[in-house]
Amino acid sequence: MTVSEYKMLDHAPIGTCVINIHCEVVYWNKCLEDWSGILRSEIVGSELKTHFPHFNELKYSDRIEQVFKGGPPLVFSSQFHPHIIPAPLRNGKLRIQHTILSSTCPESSLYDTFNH
Amino acid sequence: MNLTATQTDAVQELLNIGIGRAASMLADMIQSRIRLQVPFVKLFTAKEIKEGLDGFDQKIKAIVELGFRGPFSGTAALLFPTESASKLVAALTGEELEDDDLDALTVGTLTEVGNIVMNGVMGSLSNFIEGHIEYSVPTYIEDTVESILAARNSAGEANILLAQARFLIEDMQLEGDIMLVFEGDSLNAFLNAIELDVTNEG
Repeated sequence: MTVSEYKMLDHAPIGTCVINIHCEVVYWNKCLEDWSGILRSEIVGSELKTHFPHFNELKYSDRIEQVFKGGPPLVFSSQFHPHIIPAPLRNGKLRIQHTILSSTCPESSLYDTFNH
Repeated sequence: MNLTATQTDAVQELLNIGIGRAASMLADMIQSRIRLQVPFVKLFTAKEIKEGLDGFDQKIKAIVELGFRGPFSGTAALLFPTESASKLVAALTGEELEDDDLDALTVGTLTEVGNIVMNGVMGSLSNFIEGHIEYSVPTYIEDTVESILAARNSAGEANILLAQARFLIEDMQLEGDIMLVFEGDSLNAFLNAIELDVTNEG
């Protein structure tokens, strides 16, 4: 998929971002802009861990690396990872998320995460 | 079809390596000591499982399954009696168990645990096979083993590697099953690759 093709993700009511093998953000959909308050222009091209330091932890970096090596998709459950991309609600609490990381195209080293 | 002693040893070792990695990841996540073991491995045909050999009951189980397709194809699944599944999640999260029913939160947690275990297993097994394997997103279901096999193995020709998975968390011991359903001739491709590796190392 090309970056322009990821625009269709803007129509999904699910927070979605695409990262490359260096964990740099390639696409950040409108839903994630709304949820996180971070604009696409502020995050595309930078590493996820720059904005969310917990991605430095082994429980994320190790598992994500395995997907880039051709491993199965990942599930980050809401019990263990409730706020993987912190997203405040209007009442000040953080949105509870269940996240899936899966390969979008094994040939191109582009992958995406789905949060809901 | 039976596994030779060499094949059994090799498969058991691979599974132990895979779930050893999974245990390390889980321990890191829950900040607690956890051990995972595979005490035995057996090979069945779909027909044998259907006939209920070795006490394989037809009770509803909590199942996390992961489909794989490539040089070898099939389904990997982690199965628990539903009461063990809720006890496992309670042990991992440190939360009190109200009843054995699995709510959405518990199901999500169990799916992640199954995902970690099966990623470890598949990572270990796929090291022996060249070529890319495509995986499905892991899913949670509650069903009988017979229904799963009927859904995944319409031709009735699958081979099933069954391994006991033992979770040791603090002073608790919980047991489930790892089931690898190999479609068509996939198991032979996998076993041949293992044999080749054992021969080369010998």
